[in-house]
Amino acid sequence: MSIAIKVLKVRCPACDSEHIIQVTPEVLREADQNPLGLTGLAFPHGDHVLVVYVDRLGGERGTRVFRLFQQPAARGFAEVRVPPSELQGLRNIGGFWVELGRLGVRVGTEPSASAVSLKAKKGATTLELDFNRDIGYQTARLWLEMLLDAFDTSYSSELRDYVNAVKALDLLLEEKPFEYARQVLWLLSNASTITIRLRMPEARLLREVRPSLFFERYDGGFVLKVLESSGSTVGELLSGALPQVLFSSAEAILALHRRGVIDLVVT
Amino acid sequence: MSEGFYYDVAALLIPEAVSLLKEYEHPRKDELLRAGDRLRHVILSAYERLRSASLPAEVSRFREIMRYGLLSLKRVYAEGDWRSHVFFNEVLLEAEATRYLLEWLFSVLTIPPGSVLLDVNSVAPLFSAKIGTRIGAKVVLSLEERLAEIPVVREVVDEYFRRYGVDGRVLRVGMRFSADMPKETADGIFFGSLDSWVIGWDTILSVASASLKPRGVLACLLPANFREGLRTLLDFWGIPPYPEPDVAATQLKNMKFRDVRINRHGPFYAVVAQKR
Repeated sequence: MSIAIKVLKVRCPACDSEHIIQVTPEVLREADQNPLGLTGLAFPHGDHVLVVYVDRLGGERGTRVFRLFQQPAARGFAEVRVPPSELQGLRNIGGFWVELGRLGVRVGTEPSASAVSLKAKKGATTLELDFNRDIGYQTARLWLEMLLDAFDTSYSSELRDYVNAVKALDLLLEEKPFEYARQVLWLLSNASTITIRLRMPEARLLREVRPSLFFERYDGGFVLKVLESSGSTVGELLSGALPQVLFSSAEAILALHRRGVIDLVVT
Repeated sequence: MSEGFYYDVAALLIPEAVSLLKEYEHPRKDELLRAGDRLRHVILSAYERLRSASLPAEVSRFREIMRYGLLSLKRVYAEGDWRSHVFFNEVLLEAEATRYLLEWLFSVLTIPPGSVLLDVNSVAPLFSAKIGTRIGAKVVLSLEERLAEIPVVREVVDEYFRRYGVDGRVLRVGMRFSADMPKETADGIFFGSLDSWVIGWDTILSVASASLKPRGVLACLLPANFREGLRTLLDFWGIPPYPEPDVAATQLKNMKFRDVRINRHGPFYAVVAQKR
């Protein structure tokens, strides 16, 4: 067990109860590895979960309260079923289910008759993917663990965020792992909790100068849309997108963040 | 005609750069703080010339980009935020003059399909990614250790390779470029970014001579900072002065390069030459 290097006292905005947070080296490490430099600590109590965000220096960076989807069913998890139509058009993934222990939710599709399934557990999260075809154990395992990692650090209460991340994974399964793949899955898994804030003068300069990469290799229209969407959540920007577009759009948002054109703020 | 404007605009940015220096710790702060005083006459002359002049749009854009560059320096040194350094590299390549010269290089550079193209110290390897896409070249991006260790740089490089569909890899090198670079393995070598300019013309020549195969092609996009204004402004990035184009051409011929072609545009020039 780790020794706390800092102790924070936080009041739950929903029920006014007080919670003591022990900031351990593991917490700081988790924040350091996160694209936004934050990690969330969850405190389920009553019918809601208090999430406290801590930065890489151990400072408190805000709180968020999630209502549980419904009263817990068997094994303490509230069940949410994803309609099969949501996964229509996917080439590799036939079904999935994920248990989000920290939110007390089990999200997934109806069990499918696929030949290959993989399951993994991390922390309070368990994820199982059913594949339509054999894509190779090593490849599947690697991507499954990456998605699991993203889910385990997500505090989104928006079902769509998890489904979108699975849809994006369907495309990623056909790619070699890349430097920021984890960030793409993390962004999608947290989409409804992340707000876009424009940074000046970068946003103005990008609009005027139009760097080649953004307008040759991303959808320039979407890039400009992001620049007009300060205050919107990533989830709102990605709403209704097809899997291919979803993945590329998430990449474009991260590309803007990587240049300091936008900030991604957990709200 | 507009060429002189670029240097005057650069000179007028020096007081801004000096003023901004007071807000962060630059490794050569004392030396650069004195630049404003040392160049007082240059700055005053530039001010007099520009006072009643109407700047062409491309020069105004260049000023805006360089002004952002100064802010990016502050963000790197004061906040450790390398995102703005990457972005500055990208927008600088979109200035009218650099874009024109890159297009020229793109049109004259001939290396066979499947070649190995070495791109030196580009944190945003746009040119090599485009060449890689066009002719199917394998891109080897040699990055100094100090740059290769920055996560955002690694991500951006990977992003260029992915988005342009390039077969690329990163080669980490130490500060002594000449010693660490692969010998006679490249069909083409490109120097055309802020961090490649930092290594200086002499090192560029020796690295190109050593790394290129016989008949390999050297391609450079260089700052014409042999003239004051731009010379001191680029010194804020640690970029040494580059020779005048005709001097560069002579040196290349003396180093046994042939078919030397040079194109100058605004405050930059491009060089293409083939190793014998």
